[in-house]
Amino acid sequence: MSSMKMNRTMSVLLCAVLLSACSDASASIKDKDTPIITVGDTAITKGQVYEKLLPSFGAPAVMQHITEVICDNEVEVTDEMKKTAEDNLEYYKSILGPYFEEYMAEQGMDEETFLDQQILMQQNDRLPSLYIEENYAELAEKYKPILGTILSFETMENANAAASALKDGSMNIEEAINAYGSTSTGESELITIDSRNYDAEAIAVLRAAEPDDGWVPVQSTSGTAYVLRVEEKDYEALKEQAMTAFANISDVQSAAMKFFCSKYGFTVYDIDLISSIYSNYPYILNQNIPSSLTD
Amino acid sequence: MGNFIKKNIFLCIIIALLAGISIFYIYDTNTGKLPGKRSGTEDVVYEINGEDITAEQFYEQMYKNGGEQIVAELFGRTVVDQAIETTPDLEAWAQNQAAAVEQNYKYSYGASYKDVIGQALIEAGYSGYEDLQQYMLDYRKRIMLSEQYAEQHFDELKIRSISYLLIMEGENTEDRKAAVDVAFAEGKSFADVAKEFSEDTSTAYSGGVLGVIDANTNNLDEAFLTAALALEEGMTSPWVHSEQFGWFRIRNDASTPETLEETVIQQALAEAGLTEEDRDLISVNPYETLVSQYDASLTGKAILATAEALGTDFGGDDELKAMILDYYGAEEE
Repeated sequence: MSSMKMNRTMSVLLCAVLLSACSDASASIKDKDTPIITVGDTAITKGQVYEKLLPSFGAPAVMQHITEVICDNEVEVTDEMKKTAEDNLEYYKSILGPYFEEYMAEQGMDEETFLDQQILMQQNDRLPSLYIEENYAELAEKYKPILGTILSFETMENANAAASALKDGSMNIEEAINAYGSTSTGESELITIDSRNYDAEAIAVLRAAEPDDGWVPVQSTSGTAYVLRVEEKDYEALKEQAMTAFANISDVQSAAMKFFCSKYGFTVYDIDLISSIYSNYPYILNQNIPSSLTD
Repeated sequence: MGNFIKKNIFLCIIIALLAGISIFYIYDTNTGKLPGKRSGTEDVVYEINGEDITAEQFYEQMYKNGGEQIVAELFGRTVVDQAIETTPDLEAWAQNQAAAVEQNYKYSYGASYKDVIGQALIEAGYSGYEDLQQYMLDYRKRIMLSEQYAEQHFDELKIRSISYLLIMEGENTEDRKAAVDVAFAEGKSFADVAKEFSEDTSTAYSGGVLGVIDANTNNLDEAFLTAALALEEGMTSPWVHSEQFGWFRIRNDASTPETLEETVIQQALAEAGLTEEDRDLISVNPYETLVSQYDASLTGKAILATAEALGTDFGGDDELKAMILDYYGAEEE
């Protein structure tokens, strides 16, 4: 008797263990076997349509929805946004003329949805700025903004001569540019670690310099010679300019979306959907990525 | 209880050990797995701002963007699958075509070729790269169904094989036209005259062969098409003027099912530089150029006609029915 009990206990335990070895969650619609169309003896079911829709339209549909939710909560719709949307609608009408209706039908939109879309785009454009505002100190540490002027010259001889003339005040920037053949505009610009317009040697010297150092000539290994000066290194003093510059960095835009997705608790519970998002918009995921996608 | 444990101490140790191993096993096998969520009786796909989006709601969201296209494509595949049997030959063809596509993409895209193919297939309503052979099979079946439809509606569609020659507008146009007229008057064949005089270099070398067209062809010059459709078999048109191209003489090489097949075979033999003895080496379908180049509406017509013959139930959804009819180009009643 006790041996039978023992066997039963062991079997139940084994079954429980095996059953609990789960796979990744996969959501399904409740009436997946409902036929939408039947041709001859074959039915096209709602489940089939769902399965085919998900790989192509799943991730974009999620992106659209979460953008709407985030924008609704974060960015107030202003009269200016409404006005821009109306202006864009009129612009489309004027350039498409008699084809406007056809175009809207092709896009699956009416005027109201067009206006909503236009407003959403403007709200969405504001998200990076909100994220940067909230995380400025951290982003400034990462992207190290610095305000300076960099003049490029073809030869080191010209760069040295320009530096001397600028230092002793015998020439202003415009005169030095003209006299020594620089291709630069001579305007101050914000440099971040994401800036790729100058040789690394020039950027390194700029970073090491202080505003009191004045004009410094630099020879790069690419052959281009530079004369440069630092104007401001204080992150807080540069905040306004730096925020505009950060908003144009694609990594910051992605980080902004990730930040808001985390703030609004975006979580996926379907392996096919998370796989599609992981391929197309990995930056919006804040949850643990299933090992089946990363192995 | 205490007595039981004392009496069965060894057994209890085994059970405790098994329980420990089981807990570890459960923990280990679930680590790295995506957890699911339910809301009432429904599966949740994702949540945002505390709101659960169920699979049902997500279906509606996705359907708005691409549902009609997916349903229409599934409809087409379902029809074609029932109408055309998957034979071993067809499977072999699809396998070869898939291998050729893979080679081309590998050459063009390197290591990422599978991703590129997969993405293209997803956009066409398939699951991904693994469906390449299925896609080729479906494609071939659609062409075959369209060819069958063309053959069954031969007269109604005014199907014909056409050749032509072109004299472009310019200096001495009338003299060049007259040279053509003289060649015909001397009894030269249309193919020979086209080879000698046609100023359309893309077809002159083949004796002016255009291919097989029908009444729905919409990518040819209007004057050309009207003249071509008015010709009886074996007839050559007088000069036909096209504002865009110049002057055409057009010949109806074949406009019955039997002569069409023979004409296409002869044209294929001539193009490959083969003789009548090599006939077995040539495998042609007389409707291939019609389906693939000149009548894009044939596939839709074939699918709708076949669906009607098989019996289709839209579950009383008139909007869905109208969408499918529109997707496959049904003419409004």
